[in-house]
Amino acid sequence: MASAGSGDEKAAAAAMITLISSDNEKFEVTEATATLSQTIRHMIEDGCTDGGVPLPNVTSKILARVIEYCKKHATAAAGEEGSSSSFSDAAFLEVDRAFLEELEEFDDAFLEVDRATLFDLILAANYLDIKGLLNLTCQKVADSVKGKTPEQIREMYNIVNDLTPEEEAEIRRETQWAFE
Amino acid sequence: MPSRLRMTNRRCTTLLCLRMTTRRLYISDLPDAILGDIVSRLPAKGGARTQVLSSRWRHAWRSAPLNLDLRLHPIPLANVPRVLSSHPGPGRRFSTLDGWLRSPALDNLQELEFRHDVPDRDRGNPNPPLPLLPVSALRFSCTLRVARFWSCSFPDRNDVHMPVLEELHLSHCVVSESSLNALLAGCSVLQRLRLIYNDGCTRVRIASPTLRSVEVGRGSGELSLQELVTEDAPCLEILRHVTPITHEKKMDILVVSAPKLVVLGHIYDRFPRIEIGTTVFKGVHVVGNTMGVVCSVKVLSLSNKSLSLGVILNFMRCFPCLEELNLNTLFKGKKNEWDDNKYRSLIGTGGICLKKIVLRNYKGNESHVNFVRFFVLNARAIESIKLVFPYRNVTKAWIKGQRSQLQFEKRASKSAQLDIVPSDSLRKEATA
Repeated sequence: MASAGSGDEKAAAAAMITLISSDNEKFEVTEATATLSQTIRHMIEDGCTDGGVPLPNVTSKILARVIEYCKKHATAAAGEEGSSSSFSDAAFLEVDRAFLEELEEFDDAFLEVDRATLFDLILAANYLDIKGLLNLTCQKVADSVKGKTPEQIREMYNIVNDLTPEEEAEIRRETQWAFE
Repeated sequence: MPSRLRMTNRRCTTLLCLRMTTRRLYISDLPDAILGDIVSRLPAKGGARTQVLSSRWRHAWRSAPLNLDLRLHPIPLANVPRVLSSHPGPGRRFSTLDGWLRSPALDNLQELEFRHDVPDRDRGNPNPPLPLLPVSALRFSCTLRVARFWSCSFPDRNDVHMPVLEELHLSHCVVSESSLNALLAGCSVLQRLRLIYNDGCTRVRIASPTLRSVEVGRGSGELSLQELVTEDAPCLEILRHVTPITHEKKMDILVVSAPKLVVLGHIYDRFPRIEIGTTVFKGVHVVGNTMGVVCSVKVLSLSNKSLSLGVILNFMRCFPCLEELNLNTLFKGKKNEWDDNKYRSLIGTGGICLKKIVLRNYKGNESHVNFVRFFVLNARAIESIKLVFPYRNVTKAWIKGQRSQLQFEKRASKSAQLDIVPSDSLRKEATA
């Protein structure tokens, strides 16, 4: 996407951080992009990023996607008080409408992934503490089960039902309002 | 996409990486907290239904915050209590409230209770801030007779008038001083007021021709209630002080005019500082040079950690018409030896018109026996003495021995009744 490039140009003068995936691939990103992750932000604050940040829980495939997300969203925040600002909801509101729409389109396209990748992204967002990405991906999973029967959800996500019939009856009794 | 280009750089070279890239993830691989997060994004009904997926999902729904967004996903109003009682909490979203409050079904509402329960561990913790009372709740100002608010922030407004409000209860709320005083001034027929453990307001001023009962307790914050000024309360009968959250936090109660005050308490050794007319008390001690009397007070409750007859009698002198004394103590107490000369003025003039004494934590030791015996032998109008002991497995012989030590046979009031009872009997009485 074109807009991601403008983020790179801006970042040329800014401090760069090297992220190292579990399979040893190195990714150079601007501090503004990296600090969307609270985990990395804390490491930068503690001065622990020299020589790169190893991320043993994130593969290169997933890290590339995560960085893609962060770049796009960091560009949105860049208009604010510079690279040190965290990407907050409040910052969102200041960004003009057109860009918000573009961001929404980006998010929609970003989520066009298979389920296993989606779960990988969730785990990475959780590990890296990227609130926006975690919200986005968890909402996607929630939306996917909305309106489905338990049987449909089990089939969709390979969930093995380990409840005894008695336990299931108990749940239905306790929360009868949900099954009426 | 630009980042895709990066992926051509290198291929997986390690076993670890191979495992991580080839291992296919399932939803069950997500941590509990994430499953909970997903569940709490579902509408109430859909979220609860995920419980039957598997034992893990059952746990996820029960431990995740409840999402009760009834605006987008309505469920019948009558079901809401069932929903709330089937989930242990906490809540994620309850966005229906404002909509409900605006519902025409609630027009002319007479009683409103707004309660946002905060777990004990979070009490006094400013983060997260308490939810703001929806402004729509104020649309009932003109019709509410009873308004009770727990754990919410009160809107900062000085223009709220509640012309028919009879009872106002604010507990664990945040309310600014100007808002609260303006609110009180705008309640022209208020009869009962309860202000407990609130924050944001250090001084409350009361001037009400209708108020009959006031209950106040200081919270733990720096901005919690420190001073209650009852400037003019011609109908005030009951003034209760509730145990402060932090015992060290003091409160001053200034009663300029409350000629009908009958019930006063609870007063501790040091708190509150009470000024009634010219008489000044600091806890159970009378301070200041001018000791006036307050004849209206008939019921008094006091806590005196180390039970002292001198302190209590001195205090009672200020309330010569006292009929009921509720006492609580903690330690074994002063010696409490007395002779008739010492309290002649009190005994001689019939100064003890007490009809009822309840003493909690009665230990039956010399101090407590001496204390109670004074009233047995000198209180001529007494009808009931109830002594509540803290022990289990007390024998009948012990109780009999106590009666004899108290010289109940020589009691001044022949119609008096003496009950020596265990503490749980009071609880049973209270719940009966």
